Amino acid sequence: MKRTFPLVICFGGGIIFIIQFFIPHPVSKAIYDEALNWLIIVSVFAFAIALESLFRVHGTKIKRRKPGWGFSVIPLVACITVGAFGIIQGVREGTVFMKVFHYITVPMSATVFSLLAFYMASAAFRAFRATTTRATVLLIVAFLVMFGRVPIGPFVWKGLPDIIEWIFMYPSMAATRGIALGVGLGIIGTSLKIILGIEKGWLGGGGK
Amino acid sequence: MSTNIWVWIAALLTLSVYSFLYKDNPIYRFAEYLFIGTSVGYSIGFLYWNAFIPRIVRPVQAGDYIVLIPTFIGLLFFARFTRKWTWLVRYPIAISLGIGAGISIPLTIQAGIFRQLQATMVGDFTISNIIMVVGVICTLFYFFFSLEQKGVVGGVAKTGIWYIMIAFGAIFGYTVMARIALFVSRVQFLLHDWLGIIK
Amino acid sequence: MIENKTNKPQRDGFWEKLSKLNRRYIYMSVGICVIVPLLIRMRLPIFITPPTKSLYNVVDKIPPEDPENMLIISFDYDPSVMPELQPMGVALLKHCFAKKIRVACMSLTVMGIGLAEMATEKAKEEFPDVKYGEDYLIFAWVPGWSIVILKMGENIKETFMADYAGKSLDEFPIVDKIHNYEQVPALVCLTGSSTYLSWITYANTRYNETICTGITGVIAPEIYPWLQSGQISGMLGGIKGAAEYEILLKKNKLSKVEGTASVAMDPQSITHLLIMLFIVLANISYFVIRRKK
Repeated sequence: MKRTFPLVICFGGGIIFIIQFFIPHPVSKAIYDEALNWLIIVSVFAFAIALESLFRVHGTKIKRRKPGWGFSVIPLVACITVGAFGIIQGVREGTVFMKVFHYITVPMSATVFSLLAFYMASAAFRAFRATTTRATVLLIVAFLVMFGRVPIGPFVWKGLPDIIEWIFMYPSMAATRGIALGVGLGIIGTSLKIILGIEKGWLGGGGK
Repeated sequence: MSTNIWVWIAALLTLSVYSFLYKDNPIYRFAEYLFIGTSVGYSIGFLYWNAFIPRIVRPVQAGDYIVLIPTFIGLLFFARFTRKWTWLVRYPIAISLGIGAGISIPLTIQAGIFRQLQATMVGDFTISNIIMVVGVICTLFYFFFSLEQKGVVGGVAKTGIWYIMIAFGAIFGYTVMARIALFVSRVQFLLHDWLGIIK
Repeated sequence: MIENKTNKPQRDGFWEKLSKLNRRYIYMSVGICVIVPLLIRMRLPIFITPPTKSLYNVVDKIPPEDPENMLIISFDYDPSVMPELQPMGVALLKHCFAKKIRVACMSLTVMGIGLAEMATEKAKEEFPDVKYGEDYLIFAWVPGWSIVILKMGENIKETFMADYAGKSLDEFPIVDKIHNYEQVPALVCLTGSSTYLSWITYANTRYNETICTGITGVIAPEIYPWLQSGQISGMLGGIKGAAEYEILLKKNKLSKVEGTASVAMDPQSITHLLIMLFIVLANISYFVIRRKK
């Protein structure tokens, strides 16, 4: 009931929908369509996992008075307040809910990630060394792209964009395609392992 | 300079995040935690109006009670909040994973393998195309760990590394552009929307 | 301080000092290289790359004012990568508004819906006459990722059921004759993650839908295999791709306003030069110090 049934359901669902792909019968299509509807509704509640994680992490910090617990009050209060505004006032343009999104969530998220510009510059200065021939090749290509993809490169030499486009379209593409093929095979392998019950990580450890 | 209080809030929060560049401080911490909370709160609002109301409430009001079955399965996600019943969360995950994996297998074979291989088999033997085909084969060999990378296999795999280095160089060049773009945008906000210095 | 072969302590020279440069000087120079070109514009010409031109042509060919043809733009990203992708969304919307192509926005990620709303507001500043529900629409956010893409192939109205504010889709005439991908000549996915792969796998492969993408610079090189195979029909790569699209709109007299991405290209040029200089200096310093040792 706790482990076997979910594995059986996963196996059954997987096999049925692999077979369904090859049977374009109206009944098979109707089952497929209804299954998609059901899956969307089930996914609505998957959000509970994120919510549980937020409340567990910060709730525990507050409860145990861990160092910096005062900061943990902020996300909980902000989450409840913004969520309540959204539910009560709606999510249309001009509401407090959307204003908070425009002027608090968006700028902060964008700014936190923009710190990467500084770290990247610092990392390039400290770690990017042409110590081997391979690293030198990487460096040369990086320089070509850095110089040629922005307006100043073609301004200095008009032929640069064509060279860069060629690099992207042939040698670089060859490597990314090789990697993409590997990713494709990886997805197929993992999907099969999940259906066949070889990959059981998703069961977690609770309630064995 | 902007007279909109919301723009000022956004600008001050932006500057408080940048204060981290000097060193970690409570103002930065406050901004970071506030961001986490408002993000989850935002999701709650949209989940309610975009998913819960149109997909569950309205159909039930219209007499379509069948939606209550997937709703019940979905509600099992909330078992995560209890210690005793937490295993029930495996049921909605099993359904989503099983069907999702089943649907993805034939389509991934077609899109990610067949179509990509087909595009590699170019009939036109130009130097560029030969470079590309050789590159795909060599890169695949580099990631092929079932054979020891010695002799011919090793040589082919080593050629693959050269191709990968070219790709990484290209990715690095583009990454620099991406990271700088993030910062430029924030400066544009501060100088244009907040201070009104630039057009 | 370094020690020479005779173990005598030696004063740090220029290259040694440089190798120990405080990170705050690096941060400061990045800041200066971004701020100054924004204040003093160079306006260097921006060249157009083939993937951008392809995407532009795909959108441009969509029949205007046709109730049975609609472009869909999927804002599959969150605010962290918004600086690169938001100008693309705005430019695409302007293209549609200028040519009266019906357009709908959607998102596979919940944050993307708010960003789609922001993008439409921005585009409307130049085209104030466009009407919500008649010329454009923002679909509700539906959880499920690949399931949403597949369901759209069966029935778009049933997939979303409502607009982003929760209103039933029956209230909007723009979607009256839109059933599935057959009425959507192209779909542009703006993303900083692997959602483009889901669009290729589920919409292009299963339903033969034309997929284009606007992608962050970090992922842009990964798109080329799909461009070459024809599974993706056009691409905007990073902030440069967005700037190229803005230039195309201006060249074709579809927009008069200078876009934020085009403005951002001057600081990009200067900062790239700075980072290249950093790398060169750091390498010289590394080799000089190694030789001394």
